[in-house]
Amino acid sequence: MKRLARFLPVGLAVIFVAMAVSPAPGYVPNTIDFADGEAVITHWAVSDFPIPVRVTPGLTTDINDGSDRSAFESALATWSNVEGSSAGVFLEREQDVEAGVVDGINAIEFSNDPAFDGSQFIAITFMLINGDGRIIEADMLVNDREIGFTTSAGSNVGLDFETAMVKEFGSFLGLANSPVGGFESDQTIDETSAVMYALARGVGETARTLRADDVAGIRAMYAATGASFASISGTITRAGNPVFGAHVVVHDPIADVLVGALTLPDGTFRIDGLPAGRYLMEVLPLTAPVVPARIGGIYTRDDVDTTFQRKFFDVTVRLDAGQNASGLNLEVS
Amino acid sequence: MRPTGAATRITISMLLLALAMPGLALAQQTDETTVEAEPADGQNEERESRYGNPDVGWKDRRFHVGGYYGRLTGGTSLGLIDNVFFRTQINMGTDAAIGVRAGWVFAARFDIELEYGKSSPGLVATLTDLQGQGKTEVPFSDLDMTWFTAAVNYSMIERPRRVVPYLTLGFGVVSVSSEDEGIVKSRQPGLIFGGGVRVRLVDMIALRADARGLRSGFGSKQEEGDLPGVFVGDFTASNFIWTVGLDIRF
Repeated sequence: MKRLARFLPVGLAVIFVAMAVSPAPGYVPNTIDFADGEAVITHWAVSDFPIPVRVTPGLTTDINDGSDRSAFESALATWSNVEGSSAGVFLEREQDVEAGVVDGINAIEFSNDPAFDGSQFIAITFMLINGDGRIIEADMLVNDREIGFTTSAGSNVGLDFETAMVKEFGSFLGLANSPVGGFESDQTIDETSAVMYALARGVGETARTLRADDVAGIRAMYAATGASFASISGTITRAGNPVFGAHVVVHDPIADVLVGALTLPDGTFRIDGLPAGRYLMEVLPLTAPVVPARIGGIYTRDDVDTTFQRKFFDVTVRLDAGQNASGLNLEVS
Repeated sequence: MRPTGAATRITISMLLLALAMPGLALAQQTDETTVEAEPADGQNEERESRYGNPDVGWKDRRFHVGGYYGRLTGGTSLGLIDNVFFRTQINMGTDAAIGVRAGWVFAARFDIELEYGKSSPGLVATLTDLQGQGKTEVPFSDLDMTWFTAAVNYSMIERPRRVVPYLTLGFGVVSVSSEDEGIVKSRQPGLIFGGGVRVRLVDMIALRADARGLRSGFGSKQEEGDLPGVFVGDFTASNFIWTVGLDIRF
C-alpha cells in the first residue's frame, strides 16, 4: 500500500511492519522473522501501559447511533481488565488520524479508501518496533469500505463490531493468531475457540469476551506485578529430533481452561499464565483449517513439521499457583 | 480404569450363579422331600452330608459380623467435557475395596445387614479426539469413596445349607471426597443391589462372595466444593463391587 511504502523504513534498529492481515492474534506471541534469521517477539514495554489510542471521529460509518463507540471502549476494557495482567489501552480521543504514519500517535483509522475495493480483510495493524521487538507505535487501519459492521449481536447483516475490535486489539497488544479453535458442525466457529483464533468469526457470530487462551496469553506477555501463574514447558520430538511448530494444547476440564502454544524451532514449548489446576495435554500438527501461514511470523518457515500424528500425553499435570512443570517431553511419530 | 474383560466375566459369572441358584435350591428341596419321605436310616445322613448338614447350631446363630476385601470399579462417566481438541470423560477408576458388616437374621430367608465400605478409585480421564480416536486413559485425581448401607439379604435357600446364594437390596449414603482442591466432596443417597454366595466353612464361620452394584446420584445438587466443570448437571455414579469376605455368626 502506498502509505505503508511511504513509512516503512525508519532506521536500522527500528522497522515498521504490517502485521497480520486481520483477523488477528491468541496465545501465540507475534513474532517477526528478520532476514538474517533472527526473530523477535513484538511487545509493548510494561511501562508504556496504559496505551492511548486515537480513533477516527464517528468510528465506523456503518453505525450512527454511537453504539460503535461504546463497543469500541468495551473492547479496550476487555483487554485492560484482565486480572493478573498489566496491559491496558484507552481511548484518548477522536480525531482525524492516519494509520501507518510514524507520528507518535497510536492511530485507529476507519478508512473508506477506494483502494479497499474488493478487499475482505477487517483491519491491518502496523507496528513500529525496535531491534528487540519492543513496540514503539502501533496503528490500525480498519476496512470500513468493504466490511459491514453492526453492534446488534446475532445480526445477520454485518460483522459484530465489538467482536472484531476485541480481536484487533489483541493483535495491537502483540498477540498472534491462535490455533486454539475449531468449527461446529454447522461451520460456525466453536464457542470454546479463542477470541484470537486464526479464523474470523462471520456474520452473526460473536466473541466479545476473552477465552482462557487469550487470558493466558496476555498474562504471559504482561504479567502484573505480584501475579503468580503456573506454567508448563517441555519439548516435542520426533525420532529424537525437535519438532518445530507443534501445537501443544493443555486443558483443565474442571475449570474449563483451554490454552495452546506452538513449539519453537528447537522443539521447546512453554505455556505461561495458567491458573492452578489439573491439566490434560495433547500435541497436534498445524493443519487445516489453521495452517502455519495463518499464524505468521516464524511459523511460515519451511521447516514447520505438519506431518506428525496428534497424540495425547499420558499424564495429568497438576499445577499449584506459580508452579512450573518443566521437562514435559513427548515423542510423536 | 474401565472394568477389565476378566472382571466383567467374573461379575457376569457371579450373577449367573445367583440366578442359577433357585434351580439348585429347588433341586435340593426336591431331594429333601425325597429324604423326608424315606425312612430314617443311614442313607438319610449320607444324603445330608452330600448337600451340607442342616446345622441347627448355625441356624440358631442369628447375628453375624464380618469383613471383606475386593475391587470397586467405577462404571459410569461422571462427566463429558467437549471442546475443539479434547473429548474428555471423567470416570471413577478401579481400586481395592474393603469393608465391614454386621447383620441380624430376622426371618428364615431374610437378614438385615449394616455395612461400611471404603475404596479409593480416583478419577480417570479418558481422552479422545472428537472422532473418538487416540483413546488415552490418564489418572486425573485422587478420589476416596465410602458407603454406609443398610441392606436386606434374601436367602434363596431356606434351610441352612453349606452353600447359600442370596440377593441383596438396600439403601444408604455414599460419600466421595478428594484431597485435590476443587474435586467434589459430596454425600448422596445411594442404592446397593446384587447378590452373593455364602459358603459355611465351620460352625461359626462362613466365606462370602458378593457382586453388587452401588448406584448414587451426584451433581443434581451442587454442594460447596463440587466440581464446576466435571460434575455439571445430573449424573449417576454406578460402581461395581465384587468382594470376598468372612462372616462370623454368634
